[in-house]
Amino acid sequence: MDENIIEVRGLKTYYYTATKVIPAADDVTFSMKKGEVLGIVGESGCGKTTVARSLVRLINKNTARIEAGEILFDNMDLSKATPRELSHIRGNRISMIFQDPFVSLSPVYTVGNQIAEVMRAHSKEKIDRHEERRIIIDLMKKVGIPSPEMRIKDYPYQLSGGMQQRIMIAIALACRPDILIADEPTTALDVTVQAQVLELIRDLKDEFQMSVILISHNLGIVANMCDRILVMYGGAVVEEGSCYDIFKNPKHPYTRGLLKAIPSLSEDRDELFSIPGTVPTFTVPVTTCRFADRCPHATEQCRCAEPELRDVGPGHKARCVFADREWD
Amino acid sequence: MDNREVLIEAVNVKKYFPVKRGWFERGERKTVKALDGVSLVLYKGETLGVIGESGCGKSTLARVIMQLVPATAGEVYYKGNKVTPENIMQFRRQVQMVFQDPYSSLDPRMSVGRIIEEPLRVHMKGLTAVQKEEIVRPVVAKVGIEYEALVKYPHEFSGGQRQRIGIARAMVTNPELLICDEPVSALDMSIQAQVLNLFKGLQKELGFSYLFISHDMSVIKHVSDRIAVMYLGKIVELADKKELFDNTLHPYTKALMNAIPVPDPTVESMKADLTGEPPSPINPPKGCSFHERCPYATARCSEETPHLTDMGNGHMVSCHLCHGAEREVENA
Ligand SMILES: Nc1ncnc2c1ncn2[C@@H]1O[C@H](COP(=O)(O)OP(=O)(O)O)[C@@H](O)[C@H]1O
Ligand SMILES: Nc1ncnc2c1ncn2[C@@H]1O[C@H](COP(=O)(O)OP(=O)(O)O)[C@@H](O)[C@H]1O
Ligand SMILES: [Mg+2]
Ligand SMILES: [Mg+2]
Repeated sequence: MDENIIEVRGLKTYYYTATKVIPAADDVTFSMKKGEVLGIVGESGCGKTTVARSLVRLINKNTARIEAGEILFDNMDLSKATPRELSHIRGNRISMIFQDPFVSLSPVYTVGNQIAEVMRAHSKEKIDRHEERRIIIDLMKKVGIPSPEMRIKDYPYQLSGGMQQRIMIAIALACRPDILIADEPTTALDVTVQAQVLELIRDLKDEFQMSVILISHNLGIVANMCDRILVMYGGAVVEEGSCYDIFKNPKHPYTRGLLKAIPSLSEDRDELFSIPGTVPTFTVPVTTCRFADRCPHATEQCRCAEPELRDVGPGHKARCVFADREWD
Repeated sequence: MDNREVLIEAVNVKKYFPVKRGWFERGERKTVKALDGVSLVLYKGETLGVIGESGCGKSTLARVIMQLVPATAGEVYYKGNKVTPENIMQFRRQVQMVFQDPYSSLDPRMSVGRIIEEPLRVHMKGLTAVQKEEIVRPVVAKVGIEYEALVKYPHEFSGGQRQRIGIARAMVTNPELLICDEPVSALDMSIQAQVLNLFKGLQKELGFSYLFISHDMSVIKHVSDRIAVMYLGKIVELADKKELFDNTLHPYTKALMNAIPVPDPTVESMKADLTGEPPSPINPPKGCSFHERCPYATARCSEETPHLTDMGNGHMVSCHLCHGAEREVENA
């Protein structure tokens, strides 16, 4: 449980548009222990998906470039891996599931075929047809698909959103990966179905002894699922800590503000705390604290240079010069 | 509580959509029962929240009340008068709508100034430019958009600002009621709080009533005075907010509440009480439409359709198990 399964150091992924360069992931550093669930949380555009896709180099070379960084996984630096090595790692060792299962699934093959294809692509020995069918039905059962013997012949459009996402999970798990990256896996689903799918991910994580990187904009989900959490803002990690620290002892004004901005089910407040302004997109180079323009505590100091992500407690880091102060 | 003025009353409203039939399909023409007998009352000055999962009929309810689609059956009354094609223009001036998507609900080819004035062109024809400015200026100030920015086009604004523009457009005819269909669902968390504060502030200042639709229970709880819970084209529970939370009756409402992920690691939440997903509204199950997913369903639930029944204090629920010996009030 103590060894790091993956270590990311100084990852920078920039998007190049006609007029500007966007630091979508800017000097992102983190590590994850075996069996851990790591959450990446933040509002849309903060760089969550970019980080996830950069890990397995699934980014479009025409618009984006990994500028720097090491991604250490199993004595290998994925940032230097060959395309062959990468395609072996993707699917075999690190699998991804995305927000919208319908676009990730092929409309013209049955779900059984799609699971089989992944198994064939990634298994070393040849499996005979009967054995393959048995494994697929087993897997479909595992992800909670009722009567898999019938569903195996279904096309994606014949299944509900929740069932499609279960198929995606089955595909992602077909090769028993070490790491599952789940990028907003339940954002397209209703809350009662979301609870089922997240419970499934939690159970399978234990059973398969996987580590999970769970990406979500929903603070409630990461609070329920994660051991450790990265909070991102404008391409940078602004706070990192245990789930408890992030929710019970947040140090960055952005984290604190977000927590106060969500309407609470347990107490009634007439007015919500709100973070002024809009969610920004930055261009390189960034020379201020990214949150300074919206921060109630910002001073000149915050606008002179971007603060370091520094220790504010055991296993707890924040990117704010005032993180030690007691606000409120 | 019953001396409150009733703004809207919907009586047993149904909306069935025909389903396209395949070339060779025979037999009975199928329909989607998007709304299957919804009755509700909305009082002046209150916020009635409507919650339910996707496809349960929330948007259809909004559109039928707004008369944007004709109801298959049932009536809508505004201050006691039935809304008809003859008085619809008057109704639409008093009841305006705010939509979910701040991107597609604003015409990209119009300046936002023109967009905001649009209802004036429809409902208050013949205003001069000066008169329009007199109306629009204070409205945009209230929603927090600069008057000088109105020459710009929607794409030049952020999502939160566009939603403010949508709210301004709904406000210019000085309506009494705003029907808001998922108005903050597309917004980021920090922006959502700003817009929710705006809704509440406008209500305090101008006395608006809201029919506020959302799939997010924390949002609904924050804005509402009373809450209606929908499932498969029907209201299954309706009560004052506090009552609904303190004394939840319907098994579906309970499951919905338990499923919400609470942003606090020391609180147990996000429980998967239910299996499966809502059945198709094309072939809703016989009896109680929730019985197939209900952990407590009995034989009666699969046979007999329950009706929305007042259990006291205006707490209405549609569930045989909750009704027990209570008297059932048949729907009109
Ligand atoms: N294809 C693209 N071209 C240009 N910019 C992009 C592209 N994809 C993402 N970005 C930019 O990168 C930033 C991070 O995006 P993303 O990683 O998708 O964020 P998140 O997943 O947190 O919503 C955004 O500000 C966005 O503007
Ligand atoms: N124009 C339409 N034609 C056919 N079916 C429709 C139409 N509009 C809505 N529906 C169906 O009616 C049901 C309720 O939809 P809707 O009111 O949009 O639900 P909600 O807003 O709660 O998600 C859904 O099953 C939907 O597919
Ligand atoms: Mg994303
Ligand atoms: Mg809707």
